[in-house]
Amino acid sequence: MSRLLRANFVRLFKNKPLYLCVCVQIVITFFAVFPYRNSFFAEKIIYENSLFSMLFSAVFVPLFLGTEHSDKTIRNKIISGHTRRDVYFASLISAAVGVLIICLTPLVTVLIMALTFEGHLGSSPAEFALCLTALTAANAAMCGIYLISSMLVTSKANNVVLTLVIWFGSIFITATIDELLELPQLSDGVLRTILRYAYDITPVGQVLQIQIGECRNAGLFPVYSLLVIAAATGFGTLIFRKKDLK
Amino acid sequence: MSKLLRANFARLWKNKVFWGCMIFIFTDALHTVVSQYLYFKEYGDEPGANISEGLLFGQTVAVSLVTAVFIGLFIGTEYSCGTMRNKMIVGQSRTAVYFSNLVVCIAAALMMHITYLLTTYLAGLVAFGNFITPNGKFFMYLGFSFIIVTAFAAMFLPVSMLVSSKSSGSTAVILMSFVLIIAALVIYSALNEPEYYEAYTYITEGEEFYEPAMDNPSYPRGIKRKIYEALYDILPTCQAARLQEDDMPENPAVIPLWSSAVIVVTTAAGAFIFRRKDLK
Repeated sequence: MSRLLRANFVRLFKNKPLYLCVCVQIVITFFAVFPYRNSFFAEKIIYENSLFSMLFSAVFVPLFLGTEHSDKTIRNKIISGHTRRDVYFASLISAAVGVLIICLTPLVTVLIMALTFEGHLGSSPAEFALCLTALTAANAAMCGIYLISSMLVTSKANNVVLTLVIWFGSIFITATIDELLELPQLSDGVLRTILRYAYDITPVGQVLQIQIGECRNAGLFPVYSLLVIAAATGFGTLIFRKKDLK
Repeated sequence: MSKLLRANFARLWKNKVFWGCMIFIFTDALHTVVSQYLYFKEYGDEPGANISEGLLFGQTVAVSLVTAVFIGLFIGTEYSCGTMRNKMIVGQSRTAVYFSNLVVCIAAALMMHITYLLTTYLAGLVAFGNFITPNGKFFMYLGFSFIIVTAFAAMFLPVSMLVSSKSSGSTAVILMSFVLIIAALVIYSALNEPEYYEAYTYITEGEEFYEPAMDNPSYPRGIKRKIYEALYDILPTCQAARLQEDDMPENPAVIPLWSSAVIVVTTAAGAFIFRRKDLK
């Protein structure tokens, strides 16, 4: 597996979509901070940027891994004796590193701008660290979900559309759950408990809660994200092992 | 060109992405009405206030996203399967190819929009038992929404026609639609910012503090405001937001005029560059 990882990382650091996503993230963060440069809360900008990180990951992951299908690299890996499980895990690790680079870019940009201009931290450092860990884990969880489609759908274009639809659909579903939780008819009962868990477990739900300052469950969010990654990877590996790679 | 149109439409009816988009739009329309119905049941507002032009035309922006997905994949296939080059080889002009693709993309976008309108209308009738009177304003909004949806298709097509890679083309078109939607949100909220924060008094720990009125830094002023106002008139996503918010300009004709201008400019630019594109 170490060889697979090395090959993937070599390709990762030459990947143009990754650098493009990082550049766009820097530009977006810069323009989000600049109008408020005389006084801004650093964490607010970072939290608000998290959904964009997930969007750019939805572009990067299928383009990065879709090339393996379009260039037949994935078939060559299997032919040269690597197990499908190793191929899947190596793809997960390399894609997750790319996603983490994309998701941590706003943090670095905001920190530099906070030191240059008048940036402050509105919450305690402990709370900020907790929320940041939760956001990073949520991005990694989304990467795990995107990876399923990227490894199972052979067409690169269909892959990109699918992951973007997953991103958009997640927001749509989470917003609907949020709306339902506001209804007085659902103030208690089993359905509310299920919806509440769904809201906490879904990566987009976690991001939305952190954005509006609901951090009481933030300590559990990384655990939920790990569960999502485990479930997505388990499911993805299972189907990928049976997939006809032609 | 009639042969190109026939071939394109034959491909459209068999296109899975197109039917997927239609199902998505249908579901979205049902979801909109059901959410509104739940709100109505909870707060007991007047039914007429729940199903109005705002509800019917509220998702015109969503049509832009679905149209982007469809155009990116539908046109991208022409490149990936070599169909585009074959069309040239059999003697079709590039202009004819561009315009036949434009027609089929506009037709698909309008069908998705009509699906949304019809589903909302019928589901609204079942849920609320009444509907807005189809008066002059309704027909004006209906006409505007058709032109705006046409402008979406005309804007996305050049990107798809000029990027040969199906995956890159689809990504570019979908991201373009996201950017346009986000731009509409940013412009709308910026233009609705109050110019000043009112003066206010507050009491903390028994002590009274007075905060004087001050400028709102988020309120766009000067040239920035002029640019925002111009974009609010010009961008089709902003126009769609205006329909949703029932925020028509003093002269409503501005909406179809700008949309038509967008259609003409993007089509002319797209056709011009496509004529010079190296199809390899």
